Amino acid sequence: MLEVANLEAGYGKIQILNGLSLSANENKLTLLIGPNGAGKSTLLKTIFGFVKPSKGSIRFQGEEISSIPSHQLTSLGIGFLLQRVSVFPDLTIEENLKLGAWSFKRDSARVAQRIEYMYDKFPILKEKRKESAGLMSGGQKRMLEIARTLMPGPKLILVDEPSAGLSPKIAKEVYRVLHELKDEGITLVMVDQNIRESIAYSDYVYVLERGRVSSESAADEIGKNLKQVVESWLKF
Amino acid sequence: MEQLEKKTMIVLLLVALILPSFANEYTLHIVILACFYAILSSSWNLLAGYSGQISFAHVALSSLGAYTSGLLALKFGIHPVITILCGAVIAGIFGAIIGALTLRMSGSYLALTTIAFSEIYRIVISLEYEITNGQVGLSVPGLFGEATSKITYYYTAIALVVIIVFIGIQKLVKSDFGLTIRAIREDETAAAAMGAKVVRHKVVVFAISSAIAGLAGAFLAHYTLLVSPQMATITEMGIVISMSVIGGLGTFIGPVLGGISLELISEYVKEFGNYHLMIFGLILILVMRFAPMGLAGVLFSIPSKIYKKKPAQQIRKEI
Amino acid sequence: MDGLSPMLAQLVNGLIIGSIYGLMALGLTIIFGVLKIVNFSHGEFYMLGAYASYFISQTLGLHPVLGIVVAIGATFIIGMLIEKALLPPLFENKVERKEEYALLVTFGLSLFLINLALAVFGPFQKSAPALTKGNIDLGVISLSSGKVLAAVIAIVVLLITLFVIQKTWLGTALRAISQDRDASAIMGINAKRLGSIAFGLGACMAGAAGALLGPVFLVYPIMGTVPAIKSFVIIVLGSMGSIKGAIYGALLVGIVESLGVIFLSPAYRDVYSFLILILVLLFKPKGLFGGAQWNN
Repeated sequence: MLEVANLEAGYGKIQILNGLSLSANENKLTLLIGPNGAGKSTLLKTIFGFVKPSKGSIRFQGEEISSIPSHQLTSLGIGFLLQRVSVFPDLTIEENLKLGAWSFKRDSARVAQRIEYMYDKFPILKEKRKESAGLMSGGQKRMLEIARTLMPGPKLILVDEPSAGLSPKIAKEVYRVLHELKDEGITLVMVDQNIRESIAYSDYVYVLERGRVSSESAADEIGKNLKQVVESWLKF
Repeated sequence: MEQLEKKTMIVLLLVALILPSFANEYTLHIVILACFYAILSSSWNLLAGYSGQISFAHVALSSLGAYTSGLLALKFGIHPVITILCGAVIAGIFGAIIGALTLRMSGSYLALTTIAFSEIYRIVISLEYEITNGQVGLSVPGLFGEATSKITYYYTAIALVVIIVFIGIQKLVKSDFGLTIRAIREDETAAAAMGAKVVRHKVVVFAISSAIAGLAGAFLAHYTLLVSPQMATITEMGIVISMSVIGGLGTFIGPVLGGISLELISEYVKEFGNYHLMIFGLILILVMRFAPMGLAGVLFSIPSKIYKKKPAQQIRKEI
Repeated sequence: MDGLSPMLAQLVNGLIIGSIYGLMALGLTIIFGVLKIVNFSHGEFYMLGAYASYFISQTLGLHPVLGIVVAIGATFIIGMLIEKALLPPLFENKVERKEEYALLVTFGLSLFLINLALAVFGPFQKSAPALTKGNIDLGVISLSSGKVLAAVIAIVVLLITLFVIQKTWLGTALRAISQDRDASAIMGINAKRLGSIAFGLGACMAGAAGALLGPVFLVYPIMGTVPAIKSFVIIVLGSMGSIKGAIYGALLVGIVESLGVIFLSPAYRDVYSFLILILVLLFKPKGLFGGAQWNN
């Protein structure tokens, strides 16, 4: 579904990705772990076009997308759940959801149908639909972001640290919701520091270090080496 | 390239030295005006280009120096040499005040505040007819008496002022003080974190730059024998900004180049009509858009300060 | 009371003109909210709108209201084109000091447009025909119908704009961009294109104000400078980026100016708003409505 080959990218003179290659299979949860500065978030941003790669290719469903402007990726079926809070704080929850339907806004029937679907899936959003998104709790904002990302029915979602800043209880909820997305046929590429939680749901794991893949394996196999790998990061 | 800058300055100096022997009075007059603008632009560049405080009050402060000097000379009979210095001091003081008031203001807010100060000044000067003679302007005594007969004196005087001001600015910029100032422009928070006394530096630069502007304004007044509100308009400010930016904001030789070239352009264009300001505006836009280091950058290929991506800042933004 | 009616007239006059400045200030707010820049050439779109309207109503002899429509259309298009031409460096991460860039570029534009107008139209103040003739007599005071109609049109345009911003897809997207540009891109919103539209929208509101006030204040190349500064005062007072603030700020400025004219000196009329600006920037830089968010 997603293939990244020899990707090089960075910010100005600072090169973060140094020839990174990986692939994410359809309907699987591919986990990216690694120490700080390894380039995990940068990779996701580069895939989505917020950072321009200097070398390499990004293929989605066989097609090269590295030169496609970010805002066009939604209609191709790619979503992005940012690490930071990204709800539109001064818009209502309903307006936030509506904007998720921007790429098919002309189809008002489908827009209404998708919003109702999200309200069924996330009742708390229906309850607070007319409230400003900025006033919600951290967990509620996360749910809104997920619902909003799901509005256009994406095939691939990039997820950057889904539980960042959330209490363990809420984080568990978030992971549950994300895990369920696989049942709906969605492919997930997830960056996470919270390895213990997310590895339980993952299918394949890539370890990133210094802008490159240093090791990869199926999720169930990595368990034995995991402690060693994580400890090696602490030596930085 | 510092060497190239120095060489250019020396060439200009040599030209300036031999000019009076073959140039006619009109040419000398133009050169004197160009020198005035070069001083004004360089001092504005000190404030805006080096310390990043884009003030629109510069010409108003220059005018303040002019009126102070003119009124002192006219009403109290003090010799212009002294009153010009008084004008510089007064302008410097008010510059320090404005600098202190606008310390916490960023680009647009600072610009708006200084525009407001400038316009209030201009309106008050224009309306307080009793003291300032309003829009008509005030006739003031000359530094050397009548301009026409003594033009070489004026030329020499302003050339000296130019040299002193430039050497002064050069020394200031190269000193530790100047380094701190430039750090403040790049990233004020980081500079403060490193222990720079941001407040003091910003206010001092404002004071120095305003004092130089006052000096220039006062000199011009005692050369043209007139002070009027005309020199305090936003249009005049636009000329100064254009010269500095087109010449090269944040460089040493930029404002000089800008002052000279724009003055020459306007002389040439005036043959056809009053289009020079329009051209200044157009070139200003084009320079900002395509060559932000200005003439200095284009000619001397000085590594771009504005166009360089700052990785640290970029990353900070992304996070 | 006889002493009261010139004061009342002055006050009403202030409110009328204030409402039109409010329109202009709203345009500035939209540009600031979506593009995060202060448009230093805002006054020149006001001026262009006035000239466009003048051309239609005086030169071509058509109805002045048509002139206003043309002014809005022309300044919208010119605004969009200018945004596309001059502002891309802000969003391509090529510029380190964005605020400085926007300031100098829009200031250069201002310099260019004013002197272009001087060159093309000449410096002389032109008299544009009023929107309509006659007076409205309210007993205590008498208002010129032209001014009242201008205020009414301004309020109508204001309401339409508010409707667009609050209730339409476009408006919601503009608000989204102003709050989170990256998240907007993820939604599929083309922030670059909508940014151009936002600038055009802001510019055409200045153009509308110019077309409406042209008959009141005469049409000439530097006519936009003082209204622009007043717009700055309004949005700073009303908290930059706040729509509600812009509207209230406009009324406040109109009233304060009128009071200053009535009780102090008419010659210093413009100084009052400049003083307000300085005082607000010094003591309450976030304005009276707190925060710089593009909210209601």
